[in-house]
Amino acid sequence: MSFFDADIGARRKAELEATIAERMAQRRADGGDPSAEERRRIGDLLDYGRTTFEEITYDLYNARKFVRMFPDEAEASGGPIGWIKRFYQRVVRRVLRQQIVYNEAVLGVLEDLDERVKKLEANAGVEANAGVEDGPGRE
Amino acid sequence: MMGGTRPEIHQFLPVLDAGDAIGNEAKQLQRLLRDAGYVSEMYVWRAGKGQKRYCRHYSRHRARSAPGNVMVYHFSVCCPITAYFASAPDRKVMRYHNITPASFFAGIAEEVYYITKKGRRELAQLANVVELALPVSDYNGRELRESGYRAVETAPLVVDYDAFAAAPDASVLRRYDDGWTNLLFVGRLSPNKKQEDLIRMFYHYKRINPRSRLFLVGAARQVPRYREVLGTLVERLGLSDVVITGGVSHAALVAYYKLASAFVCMSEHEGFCVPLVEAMRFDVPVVAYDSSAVADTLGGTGVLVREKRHEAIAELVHCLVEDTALREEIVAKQRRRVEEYAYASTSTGFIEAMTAFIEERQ
Repeated sequence: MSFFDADIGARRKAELEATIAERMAQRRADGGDPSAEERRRIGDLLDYGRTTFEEITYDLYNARKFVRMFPDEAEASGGPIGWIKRFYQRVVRRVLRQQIVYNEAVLGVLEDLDERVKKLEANAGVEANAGVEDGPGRE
Repeated sequence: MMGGTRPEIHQFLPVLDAGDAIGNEAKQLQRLLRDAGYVSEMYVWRAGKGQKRYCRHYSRHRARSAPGNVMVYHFSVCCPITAYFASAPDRKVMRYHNITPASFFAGIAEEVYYITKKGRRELAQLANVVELALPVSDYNGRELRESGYRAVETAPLVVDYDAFAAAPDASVLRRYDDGWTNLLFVGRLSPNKKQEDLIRMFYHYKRINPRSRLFLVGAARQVPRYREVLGTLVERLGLSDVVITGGVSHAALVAYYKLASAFVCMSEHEGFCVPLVEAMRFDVPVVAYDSSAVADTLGGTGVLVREKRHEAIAELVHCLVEDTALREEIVAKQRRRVEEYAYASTSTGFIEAMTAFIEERQ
């Protein structure tokens, strides 16, 4: 099957395909494989889609959204806005955004600590059990 | 119902932005509905720069809400309007423009990833409250039926393509009208539109025809990281004539279409793709990758590419640019296709669908 389709008649299409194949072969014979060179130059640049964002909660997403939309929402529902109010909104937006970034950072640290505590507890549990099973006094 | 027995028909859209296909259509529909004698306003969640005079915040609709009135919701992303739309007592029509699959934005645009992912969920939730769905393409219609929508009628996007008879931006023409071959794509810089594949194709085309350039016309603000990736790609491939314009004025857009030797589209997801029709309107031959609604929009015209073999596509584009007879043949068929999207025909189709919907209840 051809790599393209066009309403130009079967004969014309076959001629076009042959021309393309011939020209490609000629260019490759003259200057090597350009597609291989293209891939080499690109490297892994276009592999950006490997990460997903499943770990981020909707609450956090909505909070960010709120901060972004805050001034627009106010403007949309009212008339023209004076510079003082606009300045106030800009300051509030920045403060809220920083608050969210700070909260995210703190949450990250708390989650790390939580993980470490769980690991320690699990290890302590193993050690305690080991003591019960193997320690002195066990019948 | 307000102001007599005729129902009011109001439109809802998440964002009204200048130059946006959905916003442009909403403005056209408002004019049509008003000309047909309906009271019609546009309600939005957010108004873009300079757009506030055309619309109101959706919370202000409550005062006009009534069981006999009609709400037309332009659906393309998740939005707080969805909950309001679902709970309002008015009759409900959905204008479906499609939602880009979230997977395109994984790893590159967190916010858009969520907007699109949540949008799919909202789409499914609305299946039971929407009385009539008017998708802009058959492709979108198939998606709606799969999501459980019952009354689905395709009504092509209403665009006044005659607006492109406007004068082109003289400064753009002066700068680039130099006898070079100009390949063009129009659409916001976004991973689903695959501008990266256009640059890769152009890497090969530039070897065939050094006196050529690639215009990528479209706003870059939605996914800034993708813009960075494209910039790095251009650098790595050592390309010098890739022009990433960002958002442009209508006059500049006209100029780019006038300068174009071919319109190349490698997009992997389109709900309709207005620029395909615009390119056909300017007699620019179209080469497009066969995905989503692209084949529906082209309707058997242009050249449809089935595999992304960049080197071969570059040769194909070269044949189309070089071979005048082939070019003429393709363009002649495109011209006939454009007539099917004429404003008179699409606008009549939309108004007839709305009238039938209203009369069915009366």
